[in-house]
Amino acid sequence: MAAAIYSLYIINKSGGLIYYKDYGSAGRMDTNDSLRVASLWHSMHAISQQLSPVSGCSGIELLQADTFDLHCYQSLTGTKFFVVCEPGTLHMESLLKYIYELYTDYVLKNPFYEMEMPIRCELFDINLTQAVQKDRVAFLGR
Amino acid sequence: MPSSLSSILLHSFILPSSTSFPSSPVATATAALLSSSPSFAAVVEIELVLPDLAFLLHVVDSCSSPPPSLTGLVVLVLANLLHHSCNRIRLLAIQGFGSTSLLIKNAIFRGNGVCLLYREWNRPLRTLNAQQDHKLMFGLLFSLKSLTAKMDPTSAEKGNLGVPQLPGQGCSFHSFRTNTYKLSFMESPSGIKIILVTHPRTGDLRDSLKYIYNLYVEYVVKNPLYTPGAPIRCQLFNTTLDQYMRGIA
Repeated sequence: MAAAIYSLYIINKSGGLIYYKDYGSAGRMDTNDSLRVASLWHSMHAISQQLSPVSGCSGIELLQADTFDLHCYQSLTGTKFFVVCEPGTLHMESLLKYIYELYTDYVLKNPFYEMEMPIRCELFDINLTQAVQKDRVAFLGR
Repeated sequence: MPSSLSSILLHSFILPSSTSFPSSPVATATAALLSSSPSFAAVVEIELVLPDLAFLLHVVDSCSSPPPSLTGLVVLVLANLLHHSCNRIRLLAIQGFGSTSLLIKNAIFRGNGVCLLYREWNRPLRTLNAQQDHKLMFGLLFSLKSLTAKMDPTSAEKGNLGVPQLPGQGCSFHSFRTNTYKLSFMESPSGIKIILVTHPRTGDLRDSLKYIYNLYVEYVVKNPLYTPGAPIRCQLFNTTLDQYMRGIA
Protein backbone atom coordinates (compact mmCIF):
# COMPACT_ATOMS: atom_id res chain seq x y z
CA MET A 1 0.00 0.00 0.00
CA ALA A 2 1.22 3.51 -0.67
CA ALA A 3 2.98 5.08 2.27
CA ALA A 4 1.72 8.07 4.21
CA ILE A 5 1.88 11.71 3.24
CA TYR A 6 2.79 13.87 6.19
CA SER A 7 2.19 17.38 4.93
CA LEU A 8 1.73 19.60 1.91
CA TYR A 9 3.00 23.12 1.28
CA ILE A 10 2.28 25.56 -1.52
CA ILE A 11 4.60 28.55 -1.97
CA ASN A 12 3.95 31.52 -4.22
CA LYS A 13 6.57 32.84 -6.62
CA SER A 14 8.05 35.25 -4.05
CA GLY A 15 8.58 32.50 -1.52
CA GLY A 16 5.66 33.18 0.79
CA LEU A 17 3.58 30.30 2.09
CA ILE A 18 0.04 30.32 0.71
CA TYR A 19 -1.13 26.88 1.80
CA TYR A 20 -0.03 24.45 4.48
CA LYS A 21 -1.82 21.25 5.42
CA ASP A 22 -0.61 18.65 7.87
CA TYR A 23 -1.95 15.12 7.53
CA GLY A 24 -1.03 13.65 10.87
CA SER A 25 2.67 13.91 11.58
CA ALA A 26 4.15 14.16 15.03
CA GLY A 27 6.12 17.17 13.91
CA ARG A 28 3.21 19.50 13.27
CA MET A 29 4.42 23.08 13.12
CA ASP A 30 2.74 26.28 14.17
CA THR A 31 2.08 29.05 11.67
CA ASN A 32 5.28 30.99 12.21
CA ASP A 33 7.49 27.96 11.86
CA SER A 34 5.73 26.82 8.71
CA LEU A 35 6.21 30.29 7.20
CA ARG A 36 9.91 30.22 8.03
CA VAL A 37 10.39 26.74 6.69
CA ALA A 38 8.62 27.62 3.46
CA SER A 39 10.72 30.71 2.77
CA LEU A 40 13.86 28.77 3.68
CA TRP A 41 12.90 26.14 1.15
CA HIS A 42 12.32 28.80 -1.48
CA SER A 43 15.86 30.13 -0.97
CA MET A 44 17.42 26.67 -0.95
CA HIS A 45 15.64 25.85 -4.17
CA ALA A 46 17.15 28.95 -5.77
CA ILE A 47 20.67 28.28 -4.48
CA SER A 48 20.59 24.71 -5.72
CA GLN A 49 20.02 26.08 -9.22
CA GLN A 50 23.19 28.16 -8.87
CA LEU A 51 25.29 25.18 -7.85
CA SER A 52 24.46 23.12 -10.88
CA PRO A 53 27.51 21.86 -12.80
CA VAL A 54 25.47 21.89 -16.01
CA SER A 55 23.27 24.68 -17.31
CA GLY A 56 19.50 24.39 -17.32
CA CYS A 57 18.85 23.41 -13.74
CA SER A 58 15.35 23.98 -12.42
CA GLY A 59 15.93 23.36 -8.72
CA ILE A 60 15.53 20.54 -6.24
CA GLU A 61 12.92 17.94 -7.18
CA LEU A 62 13.54 15.40 -4.47
CA LEU A 63 15.22 15.66 -1.08
CA GLN A 64 15.87 12.41 0.75
CA ALA A 65 16.41 12.49 4.49
CA ASP A 66 16.59 9.80 7.14
CA THR A 67 12.95 9.86 8.17
CA PHE A 68 11.17 11.51 5.25
CA ASP A 69 11.31 12.38 1.56
CA LEU A 70 10.42 15.77 0.19
CA HIS A 71 9.10 16.00 -3.37
CA CYS A 72 8.87 19.42 -4.98
CA TYR A 73 7.17 20.51 -8.15
CA GLN A 74 7.63 23.98 -9.57
CA SER A 75 5.13 25.25 -12.07
CA LEU A 76 6.11 27.43 -15.03
CA THR A 77 4.93 30.50 -13.14
CA GLY A 78 7.19 29.82 -10.17
CA THR A 79 4.61 28.45 -7.75
CA LYS A 80 6.08 25.56 -5.80
CA PHE A 81 4.19 22.58 -4.47
CA PHE A 82 6.02 20.32 -2.10
CA VAL A 83 4.96 17.35 -0.09
CA VAL A 84 6.66 15.66 2.86
CA CYS A 85 6.13 11.92 2.83
CA GLU A 86 7.56 8.65 4.12
CA PRO A 87 10.83 7.53 2.54
CA GLY A 88 10.27 5.54 -0.62
CA THR A 89 6.76 6.73 -1.32
CA LEU A 90 5.89 6.25 -4.96
CA HIS A 91 3.91 8.40 -7.41
CA MET A 92 4.51 11.68 -5.63
CA GLU A 93 5.35 13.49 -8.87
CA SER A 94 2.01 12.60 -10.41
CA LEU A 95 0.24 13.54 -7.17
CA LEU A 96 1.91 16.95 -7.24
CA LYS A 97 0.90 17.48 -10.86
CA TYR A 98 -2.66 16.53 -9.93
CA ILE A 99 -2.60 18.99 -7.04
CA TYR A 100 -1.44 21.63 -9.49
CA GLU A 101 -4.47 20.86 -11.62
CA LEU A 102 -6.72 21.21 -8.59
CA TYR A 103 -5.00 24.51 -7.81
CA THR A 104 -5.67 25.87 -11.29
CA ASP A 105 -9.28 24.69 -11.24
CA TYR A 106 -10.37 25.63 -7.73
CA VAL A 107 -8.08 28.48 -6.78
CA LEU A 108 -6.98 30.37 -9.87
CA LYS A 109 -10.36 30.22 -11.52
CA ASN A 110 -12.00 31.44 -8.34
CA PRO A 111 -12.91 35.11 -9.02
CA PHE A 112 -12.60 36.00 -5.33
CA TYR A 113 -9.12 34.68 -4.95
CA GLU A 114 -6.33 37.26 -4.92
CA MET A 115 -3.08 36.19 -6.48
CA GLU A 116 -0.21 35.31 -4.14
CA MET A 117 -2.51 35.44 -1.12
CA PRO A 118 -3.19 32.52 1.25
CA ILE A 119 -5.64 30.02 -0.21
CA ARG A 120 -9.07 29.97 1.43
CA CYS A 121 -11.10 27.96 -1.05
CA GLU A 122 -13.32 25.27 0.37
CA LEU A 123 -13.66 23.23 -2.80
CA PHE A 124 -9.89 23.11 -3.10
CA ASP A 125 -9.63 21.72 0.44
CA ILE A 126 -12.26 19.06 -0.17
CA ASN A 127 -10.77 17.83 -3.40
CA LEU A 128 -7.28 17.92 -2.00
CA THR A 129 -8.24 15.76 0.98
CA GLN A 130 -9.74 13.24 -1.40
CA ALA A 131 -6.64 13.24 -3.58
CA VAL A 132 -4.26 12.68 -0.71
CA GLN A 133 -6.01 9.64 0.68
CA LYS A 134 -3.91 6.55 0.26
CA ASP A 135 -5.98 4.62 -2.22
CA ARG A 136 -6.36 7.61 -4.48
CA VAL A 137 -2.58 8.07 -4.57
CA ALA A 138 -2.14 4.50 -5.72
CA PHE A 139 -4.84 5.11 -8.33
CA LEU A 140 -2.96 8.10 -9.65
CA GLY A 141 0.19 6.12 -10.07
CA ARG A 142 -1.45 3.52 -12.24
CA MET B 1 75.80 9.57 -7.78
CA PRO B 2 73.61 10.45 -4.85
CA SER B 3 70.76 8.11 -5.69
CA SER B 4 72.96 5.04 -5.81
CA LEU B 5 74.50 5.98 -2.45
CA SER B 6 71.08 6.19 -0.86
CA SER B 7 70.01 2.99 -2.51
CA ILE B 8 72.99 1.09 -1.14
CA LEU B 9 72.37 2.36 2.37
CA LEU B 10 68.71 1.42 2.19
CA HIS B 11 69.42 -1.97 0.88
CA SER B 12 71.74 -2.89 3.71
CA PHE B 13 69.38 -1.53 6.37
CA ILE B 14 66.07 -2.93 5.27
CA LEU B 15 67.05 -6.37 4.11
CA PRO B 16 67.16 -8.20 7.47
CA SER B 17 63.57 -7.36 8.31
CA SER B 18 61.98 -7.86 4.89
CA THR B 19 61.91 -10.84 2.63
CA SER B 20 61.50 -10.54 -1.12
CA PHE B 21 62.72 -7.56 -3.12
CA PRO B 22 63.81 -7.15 -6.73
CA SER B 23 67.54 -7.48 -7.22
CA SER B 24 68.63 -4.18 -8.79
CA PRO B 25 69.72 -1.52 -6.27
CA VAL B 26 67.50 1.29 -7.50
CA ALA B 27 64.47 -0.94 -7.59
CA THR B 28 65.33 -2.20 -4.12
CA ALA B 29 65.42 1.32 -2.81
CA THR B 30 62.06 1.99 -4.41
CA ALA B 31 60.51 -1.15 -3.00
CA ALA B 32 61.98 -0.66 0.46
CA LEU B 33 60.63 2.81 0.91
CA LEU B 34 57.27 1.82 -0.50
CA SER B 35 56.74 -1.07 1.87
CA SER B 36 55.74 1.07 4.79
CA SER B 37 52.40 2.09 6.17
CA PRO B 38 50.15 3.89 3.72
CA SER B 39 50.10 7.10 5.67
CA PHE B 40 53.84 7.55 5.69
CA ALA B 41 54.17 6.34 2.15
CA ALA B 42 51.84 9.12 1.22
CA VAL B 43 54.64 11.52 1.83
CA VAL B 44 57.63 9.56 0.64
CA GLU B 45 56.25 7.69 -2.33
CA ILE B 46 55.90 10.41 -4.87
CA GLU B 47 59.38 11.64 -4.20
CA LEU B 48 60.79 8.34 -5.32
CA VAL B 49 59.55 8.68 -8.86
CA LEU B 50 62.42 11.01 -9.45
CA PRO B 51 65.71 9.58 -8.19
CA ASP B 52 66.87 13.03 -7.18
CA LEU B 53 68.04 13.02 -3.62
CA ALA B 54 67.15 16.68 -3.20
CA PHE B 55 63.54 15.62 -3.04
CA LEU B 56 64.30 13.10 -0.38
CA LEU B 57 65.90 15.81 1.71
CA HIS B 58 62.80 17.91 1.39
CA VAL B 59 60.60 15.14 2.72
CA VAL B 60 62.72 14.48 5.79
CA ASP B 61 62.92 18.19 6.40
CA SER B 62 59.19 18.35 6.82
CA CYS B 63 59.14 15.37 9.23
CA SER B 64 61.46 16.75 11.89
CA SER B 65 64.62 18.76 12.24
CA PRO B 66 67.13 17.32 9.76
CA PRO B 67 70.53 16.06 10.93
CA PRO B 68 73.50 17.57 9.04
CA SER B 69 74.97 14.62 7.17
CA LEU B 70 73.50 12.73 4.24
CA THR B 71 73.86 9.39 5.96
CA GLY B 72 72.05 10.74 8.97
CA LEU B 73 69.18 11.87 6.77
CA VAL B 74 68.73 8.50 5.18
CA VAL B 75 68.92 6.76 8.54
CA LEU B 76 66.29 9.09 9.93
CA VAL B 77 63.93 8.19 7.11
CA LEU B 78 64.53 4.51 7.71
CA ALA B 79 64.06 4.87 11.45
CA ASN B 80 60.65 6.36 10.83
CA LEU B 81 59.78 3.64 8.37
CA LEU B 82 60.65 0.81 10.72
CA HIS B 83 58.16 2.14 13.23
CA HIS B 84 55.34 1.22 10.90
CA SER B 85 54.52 -2.35 10.03
CA CYS B 86 55.30 -3.49 6.51
CA ASN B 87 52.23 -3.56 4.35
CA ARG B 88 52.03 -4.80 0.82
CA ILE B 89 54.08 -2.91 -1.71
CA ARG B 90 52.06 -0.21 -3.39
CA LEU B 91 52.65 0.74 -6.99
CA LEU B 92 52.44 4.37 -7.84
CA ALA B 93 50.11 4.62 -10.81
CA ILE B 94 50.10 7.86 -12.75
CA GLN B 95 46.87 8.15 -14.65
CA GLY B 96 45.89 10.57 -17.33
CA PHE B 97 42.77 12.62 -16.75
CA GLY B 98 40.38 11.69 -19.48
CA SER B 99 36.84 12.99 -19.45
CA THR B 100 34.03 10.69 -18.41
CA SER B 101 30.40 10.85 -19.33
CA LEU B 102 29.41 10.86 -15.67
CA LEU B 103 29.64 14.23 -13.99
CA ILE B 104 31.46 13.85 -10.75
CA LYS B 105 32.63 16.47 -8.39
CA ASN B 106 33.73 15.78 -4.87
CA ALA B 107 34.19 18.11 -1.97
CA ILE B 108 35.18 17.49 1.63
CA PHE B 109 34.41 20.14 4.23
CA ARG B 110 35.38 20.55 7.84
CA GLY B 111 32.97 21.49 10.59
CA ASN B 112 33.16 25.25 10.20
CA GLY B 113 33.00 25.32 6.41
CA VAL B 114 36.65 25.23 5.45
CA CYS B 115 36.94 23.23 2.25
CA LEU B 116 39.60 20.58 2.75
CA LEU B 117 39.49 18.98 -0.64
CA TYR B 118 37.81 19.74 -3.93
CA ARG B 119 38.21 17.41 -6.90
CA GLU B 120 36.37 17.45 -10.14
CA TRP B 121 36.30 14.92 -12.91
CA ASN B 122 33.93 16.44 -15.39
CA ARG B 123 32.31 19.80 -14.89
CA PRO B 124 31.12 21.80 -17.89
CA LEU B 125 29.67 24.82 -16.07
CA ARG B 126 31.09 26.79 -13.20
CA THR B 127 29.82 29.55 -10.94
CA LEU B 128 31.58 32.87 -11.20
CA ASN B 129 34.12 32.29 -8.48
CA ALA B 130 35.60 29.09 -7.08
CA GLN B 131 35.65 30.45 -3.53
CA GLN B 132 32.07 31.53 -3.91
CA ASP B 133 31.22 28.02 -4.99
CA HIS B 134 32.52 26.53 -1.75
CA LYS B 135 30.75 29.07 0.42
CA LEU B 136 27.52 28.57 -1.50
CA MET B 137 27.80 24.82 -1.13
CA PHE B 138 28.47 24.99 2.58
CA GLY B 139 25.66 27.48 3.14
CA LEU B 140 23.20 25.37 1.21
CA LEU B 141 24.08 22.21 3.10
CA PHE B 142 24.01 23.91 6.49
CA SER B 143 20.59 25.37 5.81
CA LEU B 144 19.24 22.14 4.38
CA LYS B 145 20.34 20.26 7.48
CA SER B 146 18.62 22.85 9.61
CA LEU B 147 15.51 22.55 7.46
CA THR B 148 15.33 18.76 7.63
CA ALA B 149 15.86 18.79 11.39
CA LYS B 150 12.95 21.19 11.76
CA MET B 151 10.72 19.48 9.23
CA ASP B 152 11.17 16.02 10.67
CA PRO B 153 7.65 14.56 10.84
CA THR B 154 8.51 11.84 13.32
CA SER B 155 9.83 13.88 16.23
CA ALA B 156 7.86 16.39 18.25
CA GLU B 157 10.68 18.06 20.19
CA LYS B 158 12.70 20.23 17.88
CA GLY B 159 14.86 23.27 18.42
CA ASN B 160 14.34 26.52 16.60
CA LEU B 161 15.23 26.94 12.98
CA GLY B 162 18.82 28.00 12.47
CA VAL B 163 20.18 26.65 15.72
CA PRO B 164 23.48 24.93 14.86
CA GLN B 165 23.05 21.18 15.14
CA LEU B 166 25.69 18.77 16.33
CA PRO B 167 26.63 16.07 13.82
CA GLY B 168 24.07 13.32 14.16
CA GLN B 169 21.60 15.43 16.13
CA GLY B 170 18.22 15.66 14.48
CA CYS B 171 17.19 14.29 11.15
CA SER B 172 19.70 14.89 8.36
CA PHE B 173 19.30 14.52 4.64
CA HIS B 174 21.51 12.20 2.63
CA SER B 175 20.84 13.32 -0.91
CA PHE B 176 18.88 15.66 -3.11
CA ARG B 177 18.19 15.52 -6.80
CA THR B 178 17.47 18.18 -9.40
CA ASN B 179 16.86 17.70 -13.08
CA THR B 180 20.56 18.21 -13.92
CA TYR B 181 22.48 16.79 -10.96
CA LYS B 182 22.25 14.74 -7.81
CA LEU B 183 24.07 15.69 -4.65
CA SER B 184 24.91 13.02 -2.06
CA PHE B 185 25.98 14.10 1.38
CA MET B 186 27.43 12.46 4.44
CA GLU B 187 28.49 13.97 7.73
CA SER B 188 30.83 12.10 10.02
CA PRO B 189 30.54 12.35 13.81
CA SER B 190 33.64 14.56 13.76
CA GLY B 191 31.93 17.09 11.53
CA ILE B 192 33.68 16.18 8.28
CA LYS B 193 31.21 16.50 5.43
CA ILE B 194 31.67 14.56 2.23
CA ILE B 195 29.76 15.64 -0.85
CA LEU B 196 29.45 14.00 -4.24
CA VAL B 197 27.81 15.72 -7.19
CA THR B 198 26.80 13.23 -9.87
CA HIS B 199 24.45 12.57 -12.74
CA PRO B 200 20.77 12.73 -11.67
CA ARG B 201 20.06 9.10 -12.42
CA THR B 202 22.76 7.79 -10.09
CA GLY B 203 21.54 5.41 -7.42
CA ASP B 204 22.07 5.56 -3.69
CA LEU B 205 25.65 6.59 -3.04
CA ARG B 206 25.74 6.29 0.74
CA ASP B 207 28.05 3.28 0.57
CA SER B 208 30.43 5.17 -1.71
CA LEU B 209 30.47 8.06 0.71
CA LYS B 210 31.29 5.70 3.57
CA TYR B 211 34.10 4.24 1.49
CA ILE B 212 35.51 7.67 0.74
CA TYR B 213 35.34 8.45 4.43
CA ASN B 214 37.34 5.31 5.11
CA LEU B 215 39.91 6.41 2.54
CA TYR B 216 40.06 9.77 4.28
CA VAL B 217 40.68 8.08 7.64
CA GLU B 218 43.36 5.79 6.26
CA TYR B 219 45.29 8.17 4.05
CA VAL B 220 44.73 11.55 5.63
CA VAL B 221 43.95 11.21 9.31
CA LYS B 222 46.59 8.55 9.88
CA ASN B 223 49.18 10.55 8.00
CA PRO B 224 51.54 11.87 10.69
CA LEU B 225 52.35 14.94 8.63
CA TYR B 226 48.75 16.07 8.23
CA THR B 227 47.37 18.64 10.65
CA PRO B 228 43.62 18.29 11.24
CA GLY B 229 41.67 21.07 9.68
CA ALA B 230 44.24 21.92 7.06
CA PRO B 231 43.60 21.46 3.34
CA ILE B 232 44.37 17.92 2.26
CA ARG B 233 47.62 17.55 0.31
CA CYS B 234 48.14 13.81 0.55
CA GLN B 235 49.09 12.48 -2.84
CA LEU B 236 48.24 8.89 -2.01
CA PHE B 237 44.77 9.90 -0.95
CA ASN B 238 44.24 11.74 -4.20
CA THR B 239 45.49 8.82 -6.23
CA THR B 240 43.36 6.22 -4.48
CA LEU B 241 40.33 8.46 -4.59
CA ASP B 242 40.86 8.94 -8.29
CA GLN B 243 41.12 5.22 -8.90
CA TYR B 244 37.98 4.58 -6.91
CA MET B 245 35.97 7.29 -8.66
CA ARG B 246 37.01 6.07 -12.07
CA GLY B 247 36.12 2.59 -10.99
CA ILE B 248 32.57 3.50 -10.11
CA ALA B 249 32.08 5.91 -13.02
